[in-house]
Amino acid sequence: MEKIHRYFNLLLLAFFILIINLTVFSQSKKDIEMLNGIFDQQNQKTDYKTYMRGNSNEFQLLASGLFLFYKSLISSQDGNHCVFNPSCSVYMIQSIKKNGILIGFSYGIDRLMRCNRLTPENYERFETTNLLSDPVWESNEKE
Amino acid sequence: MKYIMKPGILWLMIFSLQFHSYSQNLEQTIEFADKQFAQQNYQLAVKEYQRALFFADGKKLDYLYQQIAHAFFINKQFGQALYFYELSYKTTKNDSIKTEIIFNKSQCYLLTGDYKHSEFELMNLKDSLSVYFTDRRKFYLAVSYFGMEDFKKSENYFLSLLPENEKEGRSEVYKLFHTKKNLYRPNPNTAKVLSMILPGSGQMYTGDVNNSLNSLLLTGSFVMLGVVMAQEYSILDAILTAFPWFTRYYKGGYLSAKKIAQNKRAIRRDKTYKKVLEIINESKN
Repeated sequence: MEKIHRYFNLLLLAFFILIINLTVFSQSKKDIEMLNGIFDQQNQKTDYKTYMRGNSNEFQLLASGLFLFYKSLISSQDGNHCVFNPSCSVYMIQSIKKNGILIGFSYGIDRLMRCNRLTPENYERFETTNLLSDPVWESNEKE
Repeated sequence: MKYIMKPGILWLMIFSLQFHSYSQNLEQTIEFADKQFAQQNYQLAVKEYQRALFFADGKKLDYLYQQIAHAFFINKQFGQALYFYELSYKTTKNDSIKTEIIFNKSQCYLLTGDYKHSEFELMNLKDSLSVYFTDRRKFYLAVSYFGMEDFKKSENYFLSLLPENEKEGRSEVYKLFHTKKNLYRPNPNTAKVLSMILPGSGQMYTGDVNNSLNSLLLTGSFVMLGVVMAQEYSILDAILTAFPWFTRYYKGGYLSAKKIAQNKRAIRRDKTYKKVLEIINESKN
């Protein structure tokens, strides 16, 4: 009887050890799973090819082509000089697409002339990037 | 006597009902918040827990703070989560909950890339921890040091998580940490200097052929423009027309070479880190 009792105690002990180990492992695995992606490099590249779509006329198509050429071959070799977000080239193409070639282009030129840090008080500032916020206006909005 | 007793009993009943409904309110609010939390309606859960906090009057504060922190954590609002974990840490008297909260805070810091603060939090843990918490602490420290680019310490902590008899896993981790390509290549400074010497060569060193040719052609064309201007007109004309453009794209080229190298190195480090975690995960099976 005493032997059975001893075996039973041993069995109970083994069971507890197993349970503790299982919970420890499951918790560690949860930690591993949670911290697995913390050094992931998110793809920060913007796909400018999307601007080639949705052109309503040939002028917009030409502007989109020039924009893509500038972004992929020239701007990619340049530092970050623009003080705004979206940048002047993106503003120009978005403005052309929203307001048509003439008004959009003139808004773009207006933006290029404002691209300096002389009047930062006129814009909201992105805290993380320190860039000034200046989204595209539609012609009827501006009036 | 009859007329005096009746209102007395009535008042007593009203009073007891008031107390009863008060305690019910708090319990019910917490219960409702818990239900929302379980159903993953975290925003509503936070609102309800905060309402419960208003009625709590010093009761269950640690639980409420912790639940609010968990909800913020799941919603990836780590700043708010840290604030409530801190409150929960200060109000709880239970040592094991305090330890758990330190790990939660460390997680918040790790997930926001603040590895130094994560290390600080882990240093607050007592030395006399259970085996489970000691292993967890080692793991978190290993990750924190990896983030801080202190790979020697990170390697030691990762190795300490593997049992002595796991020779294969240990040697694999050792190899991963001691292969320079995994953690230190491509070197951003080398890429930058190479591009300073010859535009595009830094990008070529990192393996980005397209950008390399692009940079070489762009800066090369401005050099050509300068030469033509100097021959056709004068050196002053060349300086005034081509030089500003050349400097702009020359500088842009070597800075972009450095950035490309940094990105590629970060990708390799991430791969190495994931392989190490895989080995540790396998050792737990």
